[in-house]
Amino acid sequence: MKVKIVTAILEANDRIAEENRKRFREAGVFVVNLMGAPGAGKTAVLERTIQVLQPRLKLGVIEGDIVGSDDAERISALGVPVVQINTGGACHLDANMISEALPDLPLRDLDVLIIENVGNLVCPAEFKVGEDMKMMVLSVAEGHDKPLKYPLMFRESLALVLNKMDLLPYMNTDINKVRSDSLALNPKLKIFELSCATGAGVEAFAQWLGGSRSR
Amino acid sequence: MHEAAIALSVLEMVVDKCREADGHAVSQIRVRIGFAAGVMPEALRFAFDAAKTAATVTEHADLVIERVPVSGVCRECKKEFSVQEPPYLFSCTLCNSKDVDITSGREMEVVDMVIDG
Repeated sequence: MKVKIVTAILEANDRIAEENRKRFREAGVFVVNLMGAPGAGKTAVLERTIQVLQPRLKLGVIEGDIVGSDDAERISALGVPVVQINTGGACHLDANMISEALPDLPLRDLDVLIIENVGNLVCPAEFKVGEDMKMMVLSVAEGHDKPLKYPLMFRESLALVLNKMDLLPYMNTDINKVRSDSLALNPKLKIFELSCATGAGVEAFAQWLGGSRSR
Repeated sequence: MHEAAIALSVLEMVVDKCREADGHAVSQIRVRIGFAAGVMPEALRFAFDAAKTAATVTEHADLVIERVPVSGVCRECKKEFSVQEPPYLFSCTLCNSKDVDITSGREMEVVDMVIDG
């Protein structure tokens, strides 16, 4: 006997993501899904951003890693509530992992929750977690071929942070190609150049991110 | 890369639906995967075959994968286009712009299944 199903494979994930989104709305918290490759500097960008926004916004963080709590310790040192999720091998965070982490966060006290996804340029872009906005960090050391090699994440992101700009003089990375290829894939993409090492560009990005919750 | 998670979601859904229909075993599962879904059919099949034996309901199930071509509207030249077997990165077939609205080709769905008894 043939049984019709016609259901999206990730329907279960999308349903939980929608529930998460409702919880975020009720708590009045703006949620950012921060993605990028391992070593792009996601946690460093987060640390820098927290330092700028902390005086005026209440921030919370969910750290996603395959194993370990190094990132959560770095964020916790800034006095920000943080939950570490260890995926135990999975290459991305899914909506259910976020749902299970939420009781450990003071959601109603937060203005902005940043979810740092597992370092990976592919899978995190496929799984909704209930976020208001997806964004990504790409370091200039990763090379200018990345937008066209990993188009989905560039298409899905609202903002692209080009990190480690202080290293650009030592790299063969054509930053104009990164910009033009990224914008060809996603003309609405907001691009920020910054260096966590020198602090250049951090302020502009952080202020934009902080302002995103009212846009 | 996330084909294992996708295979597990398919199996979970099918086991539930089979129970709902009072079936005892699933012999075939048909899924529809768009060319722009970012899923490798070979990897999905590999993960599916590895995971299906975890439930007696699905242990003998065959996976049938249908592919969906990519269609879109080019935001540059405003024309509709369709690519039968595009590479993962595709552009408008008329003006070559990469700024496209994908209207189909990102599907990832379970279409139907065949159950016994």
